[in-house]
Amino acid sequence: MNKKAQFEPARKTVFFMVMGVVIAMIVMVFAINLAVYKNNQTKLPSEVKSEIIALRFANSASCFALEQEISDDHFIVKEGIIDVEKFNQDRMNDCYLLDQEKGYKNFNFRIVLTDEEKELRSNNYYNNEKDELTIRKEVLVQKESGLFKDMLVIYVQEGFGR
Amino acid sequence: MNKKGSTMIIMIVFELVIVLIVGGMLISTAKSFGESTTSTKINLAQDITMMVETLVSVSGDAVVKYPYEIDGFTLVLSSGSVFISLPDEPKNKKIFRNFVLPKGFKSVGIIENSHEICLEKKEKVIELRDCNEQESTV
Repeated sequence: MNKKAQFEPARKTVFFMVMGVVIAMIVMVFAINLAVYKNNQTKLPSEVKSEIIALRFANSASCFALEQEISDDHFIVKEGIIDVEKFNQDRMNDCYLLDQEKGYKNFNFRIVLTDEEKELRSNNYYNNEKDELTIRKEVLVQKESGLFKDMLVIYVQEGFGR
Repeated sequence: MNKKGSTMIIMIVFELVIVLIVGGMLISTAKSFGESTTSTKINLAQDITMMVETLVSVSGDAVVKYPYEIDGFTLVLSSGSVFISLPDEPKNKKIFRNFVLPKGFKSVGIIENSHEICLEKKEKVIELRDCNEQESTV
């Protein structure tokens, strides 16, 4: 056997080892590309999701919107008008209460009624975490003394590990 | 044929087999991905979640029709989550999304292989159901 023929099996082994690694990498890149493509296809901007959830704060009677009795047992909800009596932490917990253990995965809110200088937080809002975005809504506030213009500022924390 | 020649042929056949296997794997993965309904199920679950959250913010009663046809899917709306699957699909293939309802609110409904679906809010109950004739024409 000449010298070239002696090295032939060793060269083939090295070739297949290198090719094995290259093929494994190609398969991995392909799989990652598919996963990224799928995520992009189903991705929703967090602004849209948080804005939709935050609608309830000023619009729902189960949150802070004003309810007015028009006749016996008949109420109408005044969307966009905050009842200052309702604007407390207990009501916030009734309106948007997350699971205590896994709630960090959802959106968390800190809502501030600017002129009233009142602030409420959802139960998994982290004080030391940065707010992802801020939503501002002009609202009216119903107090005993009348109706006043105010600004409802909603600070949003996007869930971790979503 | 000498020994070296036959070894060469075996190696070429071996290389071809490997190339065919890898190519086949990639093509079949891409094909199954293209035919997969996972993205549709995720989008459907997200849409239903957003519709429920929007209905929560509506002060009165309301009905919303889902604007796409959803033939073949099974939807289960329970309080706090929506599950989307195909009939006879294993549990791990089901897609679900959670949402948060205010205290006192309830969301219910099961849809199997329906064409058009509607979400109706009546006081504090949000129901997922088939659209009736009148709603279907809207």
